[in-house]
Amino acid sequence: MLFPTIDFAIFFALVFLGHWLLNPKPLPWKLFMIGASYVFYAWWDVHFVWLLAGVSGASQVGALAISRHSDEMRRRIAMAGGIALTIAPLLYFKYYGFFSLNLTNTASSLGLNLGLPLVQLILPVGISFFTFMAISYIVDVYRGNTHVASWIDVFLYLSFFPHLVAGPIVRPDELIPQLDVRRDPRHVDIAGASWLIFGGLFKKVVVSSFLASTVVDPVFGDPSSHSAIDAAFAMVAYAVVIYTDFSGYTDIAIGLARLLGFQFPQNFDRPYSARSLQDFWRRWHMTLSRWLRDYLYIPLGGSKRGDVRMYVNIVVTMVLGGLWHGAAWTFVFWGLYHGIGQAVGAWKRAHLPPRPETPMVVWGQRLSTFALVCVGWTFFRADSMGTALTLLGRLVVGWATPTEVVTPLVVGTIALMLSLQYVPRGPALVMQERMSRWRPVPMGLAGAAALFVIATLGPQGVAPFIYFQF
Amino acid sequence: MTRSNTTDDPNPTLEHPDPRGDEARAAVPHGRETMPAGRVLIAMLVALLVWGLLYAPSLKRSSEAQPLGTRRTVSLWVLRPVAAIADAVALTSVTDGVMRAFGRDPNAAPGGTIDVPEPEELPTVGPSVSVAPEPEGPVTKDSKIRRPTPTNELRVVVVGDSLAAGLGVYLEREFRPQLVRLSRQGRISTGLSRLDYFDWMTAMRQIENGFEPDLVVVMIGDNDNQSLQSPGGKTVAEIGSFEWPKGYEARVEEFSRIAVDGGAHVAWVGLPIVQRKERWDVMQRQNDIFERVVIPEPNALYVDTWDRFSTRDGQYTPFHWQDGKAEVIRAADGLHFTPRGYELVAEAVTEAVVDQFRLTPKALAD
Repeated sequence: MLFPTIDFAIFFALVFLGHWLLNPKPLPWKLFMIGASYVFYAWWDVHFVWLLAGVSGASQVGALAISRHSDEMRRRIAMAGGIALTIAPLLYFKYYGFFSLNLTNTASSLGLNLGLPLVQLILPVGISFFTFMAISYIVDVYRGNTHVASWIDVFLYLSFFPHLVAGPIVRPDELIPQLDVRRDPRHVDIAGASWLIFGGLFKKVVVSSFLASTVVDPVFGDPSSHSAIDAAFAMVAYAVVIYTDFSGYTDIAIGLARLLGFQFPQNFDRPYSARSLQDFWRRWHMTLSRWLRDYLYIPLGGSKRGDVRMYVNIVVTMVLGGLWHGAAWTFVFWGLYHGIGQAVGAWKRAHLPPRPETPMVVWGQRLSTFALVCVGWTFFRADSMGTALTLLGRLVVGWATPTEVVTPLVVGTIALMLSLQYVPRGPALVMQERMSRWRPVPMGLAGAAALFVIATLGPQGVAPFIYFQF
Repeated sequence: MTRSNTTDDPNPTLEHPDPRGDEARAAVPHGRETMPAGRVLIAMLVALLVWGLLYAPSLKRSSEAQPLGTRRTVSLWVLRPVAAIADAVALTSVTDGVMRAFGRDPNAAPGGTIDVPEPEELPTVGPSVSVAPEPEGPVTKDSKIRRPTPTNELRVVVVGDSLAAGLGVYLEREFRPQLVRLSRQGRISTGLSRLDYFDWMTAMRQIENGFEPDLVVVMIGDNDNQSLQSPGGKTVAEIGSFEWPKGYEARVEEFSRIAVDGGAHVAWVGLPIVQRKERWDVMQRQNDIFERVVIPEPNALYVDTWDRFSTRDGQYTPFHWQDGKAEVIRAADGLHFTPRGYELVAEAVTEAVVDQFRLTPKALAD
């Protein structure tokens, strides 16, 4: 079920009613929310419901096994076993096909026949997200950062529909305690939630759809016939598309959770105002960044084992982060690119004196970081390394070709969305404060007007969110 | 409306339980007020109902275009009276005006519109050159496609459903851009059965008049396992009835005729084998119809993709083997192609056009 659909609007209205009616009764409330979340998930493909339940069960078995042992070695074995059980479906569905194909072809080049069965599998939606959350639950129980929760809490923690298919990746200690506290029905933050939901819908339905269909898809579809200007605009437009698409989804998810009385962590903090790649990753998909840091980079040794090992750890973490986004060489390269970029940044910070904070230096850092990020997005979006390199090549050789996709509306939309990265939060908070004083009927009428404008400006039918495929 | 406990934290976390009870309250920034859940529900319902009233005509049109079935019936049962109310209180004329102000056509077909270049931008189409069939070339058609020049490019249009949309991207790469101008007109979810959703007959005439193509590449039919509907929404032939194959064949003929009579050559790409075997029977019957209509036509050819992308024993495979190496050519949905798969379909089309319409190989990219 996609958020910007009538199906979901009806679903959410019913869930909202049931949620607040059952709120005083913890057990019926939890069962109701699990049921609603599984219906939400089954809307895509009912066959994969067992997978969500299986991953939830496996993570709880792992956590219980850890808690029943005091011996460190046994606790480690229990943790490893739990993680292996939890991650096995992800490895099979997402990566088996990719690795078996590449191994078969590599062996074939060497004259060998491995006889590996080649398969093509449908990737269950959201599997990367709920698997990562399941792993964080097991590891946090092992580390003592969270207690073993009840079975029902674990099932609800992993399936809670606002975060289920594309995050944010919520830690167990952020959500599980909220499940055991009754929410106050007298205080729903409707102004903050509406701001996030309607803003997210506008970003996804209007901005992302418009730039994707008018600039990004045509140019990435056939870069060789487009001009250098088209190629440059397509790269920048894709930066806006993926930001408005993914942050739009996250905003809606956080807003929906807020209407139900839950708080989710922030996932974006104006990422295109970053001054370095490290800064970018502190602002982009923040819940993934901290997951990679806490459950991959630090276990690899982080920065505690010398400079060289730290650089290697950064690169390895980012390559695996790239691979998390998809089983393709373009994603591996994208991760490697960001890993090397961050390692170089870490070396510079350690060995070069800091530059003065003049406006020119600050803006130079912002623009160069944005340019680096856009080059990285080119590999992320392209259907192959060849397409990405062709598009980058057009920046050099495509100056004789006239532009086909750049219009004043395209330029204006990109400029508006990028300039919003530098607008302080104050005015938005003031508007939310004013909205919060409205009565229910005027607020509903304003919501109807906003929905009408979004539906009118958006295309017929909305493409799924980009991050659903991850 | 209740004044909340306040905090300046822009990303607030859950506060401690309310001291008056064991309920937790979401912290909100300073000065912002909260609302009881019951009133929030009222606001939500007002928003949905009023939006439903404002957008009822568009919603009704979208519902009419849905596949025939319970969902469509229920949607229309709800939306028809709502749209009638919107009309009665003149709300529709207001919202239509707003939509036009935003540059949207309130009466646009649910399947979208065709956007073709202005006719005056185009040079005139050169005549097709009839040649005698070559004795050893049973695949060669009677009619040769014209030789393009940099000042009079060959105009190619790709029409059809989502398969055509994908094919168009990769077919464009097959041609030399200096000599061939390609227009991608694939429209997702469309077909020849549901002209009420997207009227391909009208669209094809629009393309003929606006773009004056030399070559029309058609890939369509995947969404056609439905009752035949007229552009006005009337059922012409129920799916599964005796009338359906005849009616469908008539539409294929009409569609092909519009292109051919406009002076274009037609390359009709058949439906590819799909993973779901239960669809094979209908799809193969559609391919039979395409072949039957297209093959006798001198200016039209048929490109088979069923056998081309099957295994030797006639089964579906998502892989293509070349020089001992495997490539994934079908998407995980078991129907569409991957980029590499579309490249192979595009190669098959250009091979056929060069062989049978004797398109100069100079028109192809290096």
